[in-house]
Amino acid sequence: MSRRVQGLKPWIWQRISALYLGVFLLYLIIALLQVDTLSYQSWVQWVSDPLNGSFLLIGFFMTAIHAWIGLKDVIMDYVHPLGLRILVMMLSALGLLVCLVWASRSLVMVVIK
Amino acid sequence: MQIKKKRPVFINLLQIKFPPTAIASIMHRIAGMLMIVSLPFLIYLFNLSLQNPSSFASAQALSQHPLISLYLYLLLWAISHHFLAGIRYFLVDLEIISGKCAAGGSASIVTALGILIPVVVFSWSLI
Repeated sequence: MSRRVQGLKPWIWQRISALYLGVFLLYLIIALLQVDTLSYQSWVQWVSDPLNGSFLLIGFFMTAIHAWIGLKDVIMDYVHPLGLRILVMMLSALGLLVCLVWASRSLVMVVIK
Repeated sequence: MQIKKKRPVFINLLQIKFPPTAIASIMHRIAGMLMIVSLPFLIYLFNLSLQNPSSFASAQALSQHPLISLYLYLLLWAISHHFLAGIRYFLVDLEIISGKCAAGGSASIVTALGILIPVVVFSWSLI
């Protein structure tokens, strides 16, 4: 990719992930409205459903992508010294990665239980 | 070349009048940051709710604690505003929203609805 369109890829990914998360949010709201009383059983059953579980797992990935691109833009706007900027970016990326692994692990543990 | 730094500077935040588009935009950013820093707590809650019936109960109790509950309503504002402002950006990209009037009007609607949603959900939870 040429230097002139360097920002195009994250721009497109921000919109792909936004679209996914937006539609998924509506899906969650519809699912939530159909619940009378939330019990542990029904909650685990909902999460373990192959379709819901897959949507959720993809949702975690999309959240990580969306959060990373947004955070990177904010860091570039406010953190100017190059060394500090790289450090803050690396810590943020690490933090998001830990979140992604943690969330995915919680989900997978329920499904395989 | 040196540019003379003799421009009038006025940065009194209390007196500057921001257009609705600027307000919706900075709220979109603040909401996004708020959700990102909340991720660890939300994942903790998600994880706790899935362990076993008693941890599910404690996750429920935790989320009903007054301060945590207030925080969760703040997060509800964040996701509502971020979602609505995001839709607005799509409509701007597609040039469905264009021109100063539509831009300002839609931004005001986004900001208002973003606040209205948690208020409505809270009122709903009382009945």
